[in-house]
Amino acid sequence: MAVAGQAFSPKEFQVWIASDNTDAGISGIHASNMYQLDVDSVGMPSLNVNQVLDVRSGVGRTLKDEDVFQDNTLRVVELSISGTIHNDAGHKLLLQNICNDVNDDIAVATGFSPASQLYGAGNAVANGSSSLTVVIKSSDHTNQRSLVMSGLVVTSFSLSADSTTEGGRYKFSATLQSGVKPDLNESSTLAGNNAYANTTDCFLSSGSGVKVFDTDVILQNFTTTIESPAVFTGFYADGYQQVSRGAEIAVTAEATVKYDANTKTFIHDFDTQTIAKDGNMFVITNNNAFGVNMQNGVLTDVTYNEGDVMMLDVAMKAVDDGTDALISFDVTTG
Amino acid sequence: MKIKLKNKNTILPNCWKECGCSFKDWENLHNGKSIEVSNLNNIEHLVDVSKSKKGDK
Repeated sequence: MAVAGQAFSPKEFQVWIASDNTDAGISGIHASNMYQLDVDSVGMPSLNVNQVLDVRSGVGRTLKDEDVFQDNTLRVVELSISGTIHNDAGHKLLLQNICNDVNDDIAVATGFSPASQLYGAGNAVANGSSSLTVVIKSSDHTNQRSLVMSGLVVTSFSLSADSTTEGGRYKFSATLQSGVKPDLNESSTLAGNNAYANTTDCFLSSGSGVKVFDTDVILQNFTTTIESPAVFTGFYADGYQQVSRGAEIAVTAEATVKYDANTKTFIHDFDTQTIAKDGNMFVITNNNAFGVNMQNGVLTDVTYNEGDVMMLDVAMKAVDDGTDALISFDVTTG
Repeated sequence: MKIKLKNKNTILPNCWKECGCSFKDWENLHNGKSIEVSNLNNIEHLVDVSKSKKGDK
């Protein structure tokens, strides 16, 4: 076989996403109803195959061919992606999945109860926040292959923005895991036709009313993170039988704010707090642009950030007061 | 209360919900029209405020 002459830029590979909707974990590529994610780069998923190459008993001190073992059914595939968040249906799928919330203004509800989901045809989560299919799409299928990963759930999602980087444009990073065997040799269908637009970016500059620890602050940057570990159990022909979630969905936030008359007591407040702050723990008003609303929480760290001016790095963790959502993100006009 | 932009080139923050109006009203405000809001939400330095309503004496 002659060598092939084609070469491809890593930038020719794209990431597309769809809800598995009614057939959790087996929906595969959709030519029309997938959404493109605005990623910084396409990263290789961790395939985590079960491979055993230990030397067993035999003649000589070598690995024997009959001792080679590999399994690709009962393993967890993990994918990490990061990029620019857009207020569109595709990017919101990531947040909706980890929050188990497809309502307007996506939130981690008080008394949060995660979705558990059986894999296989006909299995879906009732509220539509079903598992996801992500496709790493090649630019053609003559000389390349697409990677199709179904049955993914988002186990970690971070939203961040920095007023000194990219004009305060909001960024995201997400980790997804699946217990379903992926298709790494897709050659028949190219995913999707709903590309992201540059009109759906979100910026800190349209935000206002920033509060940290119920105090008006001058904010330089923030990161909010939601962690909800996946637990895979059981088995069937294409992988694990069920995906559910761990004991806690953890919502944290970090903010870098100017050290000034308003924030001068934060270090003391952190040191002496005995109860959670009730109200305006971390708020950025930004209607329809991923405004953040964490009403109740505790300070988990406050430290100096010695930049050109003295800043404070404030770390927080949301707590459930039985009434307010742990966190909500404003993604609606009304 | 009715508000109107002091300067038509001003870009307002995204806080129409806190001001008690709709996104469409907010667009109208950006376009130089007067709109009714229930709360100023710290934008008072950007807008002219008129508290009189029709019928007031």
